[in-house]
Amino acid sequence: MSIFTFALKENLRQKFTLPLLLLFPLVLLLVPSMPGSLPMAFSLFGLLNFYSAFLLVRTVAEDRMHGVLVRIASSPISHAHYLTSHLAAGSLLLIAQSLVLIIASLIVYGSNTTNYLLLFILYSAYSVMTLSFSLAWNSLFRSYTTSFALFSGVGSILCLVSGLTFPLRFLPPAMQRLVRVFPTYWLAHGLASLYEQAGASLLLSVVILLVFAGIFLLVGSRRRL
Amino acid sequence: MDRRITIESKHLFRFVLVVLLFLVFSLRYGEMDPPLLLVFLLVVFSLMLRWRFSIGTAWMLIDAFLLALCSLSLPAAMILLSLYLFYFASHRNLLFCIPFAVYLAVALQGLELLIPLFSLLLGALVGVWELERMQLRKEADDYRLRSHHLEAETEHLLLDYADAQHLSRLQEREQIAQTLHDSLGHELTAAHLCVKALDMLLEKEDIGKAKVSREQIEQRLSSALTQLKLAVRQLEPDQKQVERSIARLFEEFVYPVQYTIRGDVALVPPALQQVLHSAIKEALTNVAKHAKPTKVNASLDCNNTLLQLVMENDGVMEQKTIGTGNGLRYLRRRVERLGGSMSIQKGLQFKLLITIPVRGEMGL
Repeated sequence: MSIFTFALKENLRQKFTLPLLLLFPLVLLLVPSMPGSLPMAFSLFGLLNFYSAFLLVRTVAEDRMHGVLVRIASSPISHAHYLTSHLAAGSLLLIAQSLVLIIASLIVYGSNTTNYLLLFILYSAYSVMTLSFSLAWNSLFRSYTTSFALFSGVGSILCLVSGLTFPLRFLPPAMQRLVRVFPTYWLAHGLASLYEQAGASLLLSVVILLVFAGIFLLVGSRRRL
Repeated sequence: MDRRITIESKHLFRFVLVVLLFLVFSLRYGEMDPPLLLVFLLVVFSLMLRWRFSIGTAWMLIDAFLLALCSLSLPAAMILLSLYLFYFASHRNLLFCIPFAVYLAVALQGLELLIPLFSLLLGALVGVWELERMQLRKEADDYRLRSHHLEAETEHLLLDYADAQHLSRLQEREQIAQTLHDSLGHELTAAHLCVKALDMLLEKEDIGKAKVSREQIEQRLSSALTQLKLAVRQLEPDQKQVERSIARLFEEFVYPVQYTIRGDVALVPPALQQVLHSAIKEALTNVAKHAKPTKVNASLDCNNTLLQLVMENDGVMEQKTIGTGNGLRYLRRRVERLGGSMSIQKGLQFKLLITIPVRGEMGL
């Protein structure tokens, strides 16, 4: 069995993975929409995706915490191969989660609501970013429980102030500028661009999300035994 | 364990880089629209890539040129070149800095010019510090290597010394055997033959000749006894020689030494005598090197079971280095090799105490 398949199975074996991937996106569709923007489910999905990504890197974090990485280091498997396989498995599951939401949205809202292909691209970039962020975040802690406890606070605040749980226009103007440094903001920005059909702005959001992903990957991919 | 907190130049490099990033971000915060933020993030990515992976400095030129190109259409991004100036300067690639420094000098105005200048200066400082540290590290490595070689040499010498001891003991036995054979052997054989002849003469009842033979036996045995005494005298070492040589060491020392020797040093095995001699020499050299004493006391106690040397001196000079020097360290190893112990007390007085158990055949 390849590491990728193993990581996929390990992730799916977790208690909350399947409900998070398949059920929760459907529940989001029940949230009423606000006028002047895309359905709230699209931005709330950012929060769901963020927590799902954190859950999916649990295997990597626990491997390090339980010393599995030390055993892997002594085997002929390179750290890059191990990490790439895990991240690919995580990304695949997160992208599948996006697809579930997109297909359900197509059925519920109809095909005229937005460009679903662009939405899928935006979600894919966001998924990679959340996965990398979770990896980097976990690399800062020795215990997954501590890491999760802090992340649940920080992640919620990030999503809250970035315009994912409520529209950004409700925030003071100074805050609106400040939140640009948060990676989660760029999903909200991308969704707003998608609503306004501003292709260049959407592309910029996708690129910025990918650059954030790159930075977090550089931090998170350090081999800490 | 002695755990020292040291600030490496790479720590300073990272700290200054973060400060510069923060400074540049704060300066451009008002103009931080999505394109500028993207450029800023790309610069962060480029710098972090070098933090994670070891990439040649020349590759950074590409990033810097791309940023310079980008700044033509996005002038606000120009200030970010300061980070590259810092990077090149800290990596001691001042030549790479020139085009960007000139570009910034022409394009930037007013107080903003201070940032690249500041970055360049800080980078050069970090670079020089790094160079200095590298040289120091190299020197320390060289010293460690030399010290390692010296220790290996000492180890070899000690082994050679043990071999020589063994060899000399064998030679000594051979010499004793030869001496006994040459001197005593002949006389005893002749005496033995005379005894046989005496038996035969007594059987023939030739009393006259038997008397002559008995006299000859007496002469032979008397001669053998004389030869034995002579051989023993020749083989026996000069018992007072060791003591005299130790006394000479104390007496010829540059500072006056009050010494006492109790017991018979000659009773101590030769290998131990040699270590004792070296220990006294080393201790006296140590006094001459690290002290200006008004008095030096030495006492040597020898008995059948233990050898103890105590040396004490005042006028200890302040030491620049911590710990013991090579001479005392090697001495300690030699003493410990013989199952003994060496202790040092430092203070206003320097006291050296060496105790070695005396075992007949030496455990070398």
